[in-house]
Amino acid sequence: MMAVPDYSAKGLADAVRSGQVSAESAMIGYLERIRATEPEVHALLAQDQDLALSRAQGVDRMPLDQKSHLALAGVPLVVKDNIVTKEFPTTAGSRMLEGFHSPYTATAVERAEAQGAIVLAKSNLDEFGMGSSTEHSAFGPTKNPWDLTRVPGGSSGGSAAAVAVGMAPLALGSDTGGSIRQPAAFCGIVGLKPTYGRVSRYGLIAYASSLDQIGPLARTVEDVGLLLQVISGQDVRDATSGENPVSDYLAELKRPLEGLRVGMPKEYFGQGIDPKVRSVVEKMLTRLATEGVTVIEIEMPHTRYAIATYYLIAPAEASSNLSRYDGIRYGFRAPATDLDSLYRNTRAQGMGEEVQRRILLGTHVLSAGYYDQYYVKAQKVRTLIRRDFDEAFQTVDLVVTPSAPDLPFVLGSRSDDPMQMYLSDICTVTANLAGLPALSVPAGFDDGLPIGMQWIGPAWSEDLLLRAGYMVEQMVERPRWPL
Amino acid sequence: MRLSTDLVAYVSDLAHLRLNMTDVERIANELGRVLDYVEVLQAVDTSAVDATWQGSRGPGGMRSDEAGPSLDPLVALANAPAAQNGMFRIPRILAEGEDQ
Repeated sequence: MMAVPDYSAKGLADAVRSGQVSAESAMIGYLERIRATEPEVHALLAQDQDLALSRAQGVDRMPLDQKSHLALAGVPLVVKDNIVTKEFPTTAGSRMLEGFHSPYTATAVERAEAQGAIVLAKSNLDEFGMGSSTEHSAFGPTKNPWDLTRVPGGSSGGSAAAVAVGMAPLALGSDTGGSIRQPAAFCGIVGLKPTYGRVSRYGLIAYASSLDQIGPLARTVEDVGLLLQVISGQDVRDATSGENPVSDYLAELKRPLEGLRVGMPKEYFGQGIDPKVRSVVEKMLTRLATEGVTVIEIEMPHTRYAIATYYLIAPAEASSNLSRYDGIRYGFRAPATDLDSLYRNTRAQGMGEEVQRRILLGTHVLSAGYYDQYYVKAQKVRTLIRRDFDEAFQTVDLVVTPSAPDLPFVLGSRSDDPMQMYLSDICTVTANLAGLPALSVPAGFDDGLPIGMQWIGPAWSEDLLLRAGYMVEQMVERPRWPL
Repeated sequence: MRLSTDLVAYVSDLAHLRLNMTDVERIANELGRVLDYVEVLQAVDTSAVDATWQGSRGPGGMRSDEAGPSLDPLVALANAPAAQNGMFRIPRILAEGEDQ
């Protein structure tokens, strides 16, 4: 098999800026890598090799003074297919949007492109982001590159698998309940869900608007910081984007964190967590302790309510957001002779089982007679989950947990049991409910399968999370490439 | 708890989803299991707790309310399953003679 283009995004951008490497020759390497691995992995839903090559040539032709300002000069980028792009179709993994071409491009993509990044493909996902395995894509599942019989995680499974196998050094994902962090963990790469409001959601196809965030995936912590830097910041097109200034995430990245106090919540290390996962994360904490990190056992008593809270709030918001798919303005339309049947047939035929299940659940918990019992109750418990974190951050700087309760599971092993699938989000949903940033970084391998550890920080503490992740990264030996 | 098929039919009607009887039966079971699981929340005392309605952790900003360019109508119609005369085309909603 041909050699993998072995660049980090940072290294490639530096080399393209200085003229040591042409963006075109690098792009040719990545496109060949896609041809070699995509038939086995199925990470992508759309690609445009000609466009990617001509964009790369465009970067090479740029005058030096222009090129030298581009943080991502010539760096290939994979974009999750629920983030709209003018030049590629956007399906969100759903038949409902098959053939849809967005008239505009998402802010996060626009910002990356303005810094020289080149979108070469759109990646597979669970339909509308609803799932933890990428098995709920209408276009077939993505495989985990470390073991093709296993899931890559989800919903950003295509983005994570693409980066893990070397199709591109960078990818964008979205995270509503763990959809960046869990696939990053399952694929042995780094993924960050930013603070709610850090990255504009303009152009992200809405699933649960109070939880959704776009974020970066890459093979190294430094690359995650580099992409985060570019896509962060307020956007007039997203009223929930925050006005907090964006730090220089790379400036202090490699400076050791002296005197760091890390909280280890016992609720994330108990029942339901695979002992192999627990052991790898605990070992890493022991090693960090020898580096001067203070590990403090803490309690976060409302963690046990997180899955119930999430699976009321997210479907409720989804049922409202997905009402726009009616067969009138875009996407799939089922044949019908009257308007009411057109709506009902279109939605039933265009959306997959899991999406329909969440719409029905969400509609039920918002309906008259149930609203207070379910939806309002969940929003109140959400407050208590937020308070658990606020209180923890009185005594510790960051909180550490496993990124997922188990190792990548075998394809098909959970698809018939929705409740079992929902429980695989146990480690990640709390950061979304609390609006906090969280990073998954590989902590080790067990029997060839990657295991991730999650760092959760106070709002806007991405710089600290990246420094902690960098420290872990230096201690982990990992195989270079899975395939 | 299994939801009644009448309730599932009612909810699918609200959600504009046409379900067949097999689907209704399956979903009655599946949603029942999820609703059993979320019962755990009823044990939490939230009598003195305010709800969190939104995700933001800090100030957003309101932009000034100035008119800007909108999507061109032809572009907006480009993804429509059916369009005619610059408008989205839908099945007839009035019976013959009703639109006089």
